[in-house]
Amino acid sequence: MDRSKALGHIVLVSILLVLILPFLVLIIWSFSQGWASNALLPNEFGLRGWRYLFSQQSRMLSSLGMSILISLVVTGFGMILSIPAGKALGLYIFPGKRLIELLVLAPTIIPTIAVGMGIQIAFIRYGLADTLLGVILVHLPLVLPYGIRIFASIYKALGTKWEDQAKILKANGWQRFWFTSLPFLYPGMISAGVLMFNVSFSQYFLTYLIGGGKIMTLPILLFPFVNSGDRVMASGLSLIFILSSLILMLIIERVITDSEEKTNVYYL
Amino acid sequence: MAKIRLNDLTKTYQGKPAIEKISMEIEAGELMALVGHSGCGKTTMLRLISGLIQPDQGSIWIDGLDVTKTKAEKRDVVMVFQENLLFPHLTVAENIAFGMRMQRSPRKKRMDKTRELLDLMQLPDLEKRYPSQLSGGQQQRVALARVLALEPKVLLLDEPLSNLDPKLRDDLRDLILKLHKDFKMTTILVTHDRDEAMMMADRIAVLYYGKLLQMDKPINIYNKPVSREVASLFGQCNFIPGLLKDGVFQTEGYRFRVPALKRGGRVEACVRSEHIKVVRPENDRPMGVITEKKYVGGQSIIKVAVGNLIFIARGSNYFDLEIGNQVGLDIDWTLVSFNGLKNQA
Repeated sequence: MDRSKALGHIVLVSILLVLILPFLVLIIWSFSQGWASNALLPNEFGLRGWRYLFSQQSRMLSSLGMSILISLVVTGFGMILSIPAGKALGLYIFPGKRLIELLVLAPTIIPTIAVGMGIQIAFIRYGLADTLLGVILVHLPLVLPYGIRIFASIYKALGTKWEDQAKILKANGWQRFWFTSLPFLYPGMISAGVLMFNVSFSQYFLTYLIGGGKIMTLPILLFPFVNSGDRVMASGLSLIFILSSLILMLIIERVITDSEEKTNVYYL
Repeated sequence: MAKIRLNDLTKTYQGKPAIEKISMEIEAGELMALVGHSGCGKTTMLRLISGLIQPDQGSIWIDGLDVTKTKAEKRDVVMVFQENLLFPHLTVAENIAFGMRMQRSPRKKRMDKTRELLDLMQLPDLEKRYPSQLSGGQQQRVALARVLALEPKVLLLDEPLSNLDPKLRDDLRDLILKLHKDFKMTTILVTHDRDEAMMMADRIAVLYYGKLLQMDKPINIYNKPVSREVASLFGQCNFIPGLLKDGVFQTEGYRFRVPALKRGGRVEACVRSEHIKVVRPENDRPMGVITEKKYVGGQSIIKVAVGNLIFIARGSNYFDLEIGNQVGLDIDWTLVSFNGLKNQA
């Protein structure tokens, strides 16, 4: 074996270790019952953590449901808003375009804590604080930049030629979107959907601030365990957190992806 | 069949005029070729007629109806783009049926029509394929079939043959001519290929930087070009300035005897290189010396210096001539066009 090949193997193995080791630690922690500080492995294994997490009083299942509900609704609305916004930014030239591009990106740049307080005061005034709707509304600007950026770049690459062709073939506005634009947007919808879902799914601060502890999501449930140092619970919850988002990603990808020969010609 | 009338059509892009005050009439069932250099406004014209863009000024009439404000999807006009833009996610059959589906034609009608067009376009057994699995020629046929399915009154073609190799080009050209006749459409063809325009069109319109220079039958465009620009678009031309008077064309250094013409004064003669024969030197003909000789396919291009003038002649059977030979020129002056000179110094 020559040197570059060996080097490649070492890099690959170390990447895998870096990615998988934390998982192993999480799995071991979640099954431990007692772990002396100087031992390599726990001295006692047990199901205390898992039994508690799946019991009624932990509210794990209801929080998971709430998290999925919020993230799905946010992803859905995010998609509906970011496709037309992406089209406008990708295809049209209008005064103030640069400013709007900047504003759209702002939620990813400005710390949420800086605007969270102001939003909370406004939401209290409109009766949106401590409500599900309030939490969904406050998640939306956080996920929009991802969707808008992706769809803007797709529309930019597509140009107007396909829409022109559809016009020539007598398709009206909705038909043009449904039958010509949408198929080109599919791959982008997968990546945008996955990103938006994850950003919403892992949001802690704004959910806590606007939901006021009444809207229980997985991160809200997880935080006190991490904070209080209950690593068994925290590890179990973290695993549930990771697995559920992973499974949902796979479902989204399955649902949206078409047969191969269609997807590989989209960007020609 | 539909008659198209364009009235003072003007379109500017970011302050620059793409086309300027173009007026023309295209007869019902006519095949008209729009010819010009790239960027002369040919494609802009098609996009205006199709309704994809709106003119800044002027109006478009189809069959006596003002359609200037009518949207593209409501006009009886279809267009085949240069890149054929077949929908990659749809099969050949779905692509052909697309327009009918948008118009909500019944399924039975759609399927019959699609099958009929597949036969007509010689695309058997391809209906289930995707566009990426077709050759360039097949793709262009599907693109044609797709617009013909709408039974349009007007067909616009934007350089339909430019991406094909020569053999396919000939086949598709004949197919387009046949379809134009069978479907009784008014067809406008944009091309930069002068031979394509000459062979296909009933009339040719020559555009030059957004202006319409000349619109006439191909033979007149060739033999009676109204300007230097038109003349040089359709083949090599010798432009010779001089004074035309009473059957004599006086140039710098030589007097040519030409058929008597009504027109006179300072003119520029446009002598096509194929209308000059290189012959044995004789006393009553212009004589000169061969300065250059090229061989192109079946023809030779010979440069002959006559006094201060340089003539380029083109023809076959000049193999025995050599550079430096003394030769005579036999110019067919009946085929020469004289145009008045503008901006005379």
